[in-house]
Amino acid sequence: MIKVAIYGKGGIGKSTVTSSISAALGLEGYSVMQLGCDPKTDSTINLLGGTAPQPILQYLQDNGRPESLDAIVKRGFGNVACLEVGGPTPGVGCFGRGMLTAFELLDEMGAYDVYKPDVVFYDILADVVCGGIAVPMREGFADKVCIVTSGEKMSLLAARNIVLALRNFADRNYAELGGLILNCRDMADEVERVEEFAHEMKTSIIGVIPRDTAIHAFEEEGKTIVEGNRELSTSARFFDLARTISNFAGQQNVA
Amino acid sequence: MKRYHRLLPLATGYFGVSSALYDFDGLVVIYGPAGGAWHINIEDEPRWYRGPATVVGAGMLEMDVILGNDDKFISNIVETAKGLKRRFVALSGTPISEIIGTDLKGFARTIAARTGMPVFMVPTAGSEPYPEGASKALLALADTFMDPTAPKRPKGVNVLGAIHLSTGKEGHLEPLFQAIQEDGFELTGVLSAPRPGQDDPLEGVRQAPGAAVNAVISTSGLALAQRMHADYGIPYVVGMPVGLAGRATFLALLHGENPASPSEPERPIPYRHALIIGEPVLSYGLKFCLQRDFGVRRVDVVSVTPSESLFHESAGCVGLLAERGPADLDTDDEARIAGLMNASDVDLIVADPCYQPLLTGATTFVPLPHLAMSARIYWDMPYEYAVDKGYKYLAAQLHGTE
Repeated sequence: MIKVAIYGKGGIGKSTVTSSISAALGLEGYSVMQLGCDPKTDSTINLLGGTAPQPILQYLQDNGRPESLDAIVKRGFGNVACLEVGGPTPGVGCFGRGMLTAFELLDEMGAYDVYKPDVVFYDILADVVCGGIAVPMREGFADKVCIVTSGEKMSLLAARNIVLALRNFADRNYAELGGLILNCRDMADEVERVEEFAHEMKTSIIGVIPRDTAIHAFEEEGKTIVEGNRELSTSARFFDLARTISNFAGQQNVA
Repeated sequence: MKRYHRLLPLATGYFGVSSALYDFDGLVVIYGPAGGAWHINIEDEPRWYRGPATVVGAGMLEMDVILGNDDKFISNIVETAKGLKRRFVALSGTPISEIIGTDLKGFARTIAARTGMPVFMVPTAGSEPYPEGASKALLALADTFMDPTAPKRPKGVNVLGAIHLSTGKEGHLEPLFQAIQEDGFELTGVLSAPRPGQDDPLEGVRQAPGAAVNAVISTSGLALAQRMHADYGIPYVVGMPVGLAGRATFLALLHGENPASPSEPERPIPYRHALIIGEPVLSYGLKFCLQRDFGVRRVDVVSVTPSESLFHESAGCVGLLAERGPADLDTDDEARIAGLMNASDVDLIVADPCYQPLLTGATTFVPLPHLAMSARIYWDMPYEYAVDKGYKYLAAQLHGTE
């Protein structure tokens, strides 16, 4: 089992990328679990035809601890086990602390033993803005962190912050950096810009997703592009990324 | 919501951690606000007056929490641990770390890397009863220091759960230790009280896996006994032997023998219905003594910390010096306890002196301090409970003579 946390600037396409990789891994026969870590509860909707599972924190508030994980897990495309942390309504509460509660619940209920996933994705809402958002990096949670970025300056700044946070925690046995996923915005020299950044950060680009209107068209139908048409060249990029991530399990350090 | 008008709230999880680890020459760090460890050292840890400070607070201020000044905290701990030449560092959580989700496990990794010392985290939140914190601390201590290859000691006994919040000043347990040794056993490890003459207070912990049997004398030792049975196959007996019959029964259980049948009470007393309030293992030991040694027909136990784990079936438990009665209950609720104490048919109460003001009548009250309730207030009060000395103390209280 390999557990991967996906970070990146808000709005950069983390959920789109994560869901598409999950779908590709599912089609390749892997057992996949995707945990959306965003109060908006929208990480897994494109694996579930536009719906979302019952958010974990809301379930806990309304019903207490579930007797079975089935109450908070929905199977999506590719038989991906889909979960959403959920969280407070905007402007109140503490999402970071809630994420820790949800993670601990899954751990205590033996979610990884029950579903036996080969790959677990934590799709994190944004940049590492505070200690709570760094929870998935902690020992016992993610093994690898992948950062979704474009070539835009603000996106790369966010990526830099995430890398620095990871390196800051090196002696705490936190997750390792797995690499960058370039989600293109059609800038001039975008690949070169991100390659230069990767070199500076002593990491690598593990996948390049072109800007493709087909992605958005299928999302309107509640699908990933992989589900919509696996023959498209953009879908092939997600299958390539799926293979790269499935190979993480056998690697010590790809950063 | 609990309301206390006369009682003090009982000690919570990190006090239990402090109590369990205090005597092992480590540095116990309470991740709380500035001044957070002060009340542990000043009120709940009377040993602090007599030795080096082993419990320190993180000294968190508002801006430390907001800005996450982890490095300052970690550097302070590293400097203090090295300066005081401690044998280990233990980090214990409080409501602060629980609410903001502090990664104490990660901190422990960093401090270990910077000091080269054993460092562990005890996952307390500050809202749990103190035996839970002590229990987790003993497990962490065992994970860190116990030697699975320790030589086997066929007569070796570990005493588990000897934490001052439950058992008081260390001298109160000496009669028990003597009784165990006089009966042909040797004390291998006492958690948490190093034996006199040990240069390294952790030696008993290291050697503990070699013992033949564990004696659990408070609920804080139960989880460790179960773990040691699973890991090393060591069976355990649960009970605090109070008085003469308690001593004989407890030692028989340690030997794996059937205890003798109850005989006529040594010194019958004219009380018919006693109420014992306190830590459950000691309270059930007192109940055994009042019934067997003094002939009190009805004895009810009010456990102020959870007692249910005592009565769970467990493969490793080969003897239990506790018998649950139909009116026994777990509560630390002041109004409920006051109601029980003032019931018209209760004619004898054994409890910490802090409970005495709840009495409205002239019911006989035998004071038996519970450190988790009264902290240092009655630390030096003359009282006993273990084996023969416990019998003499109760006899003196109940008959007016020994």
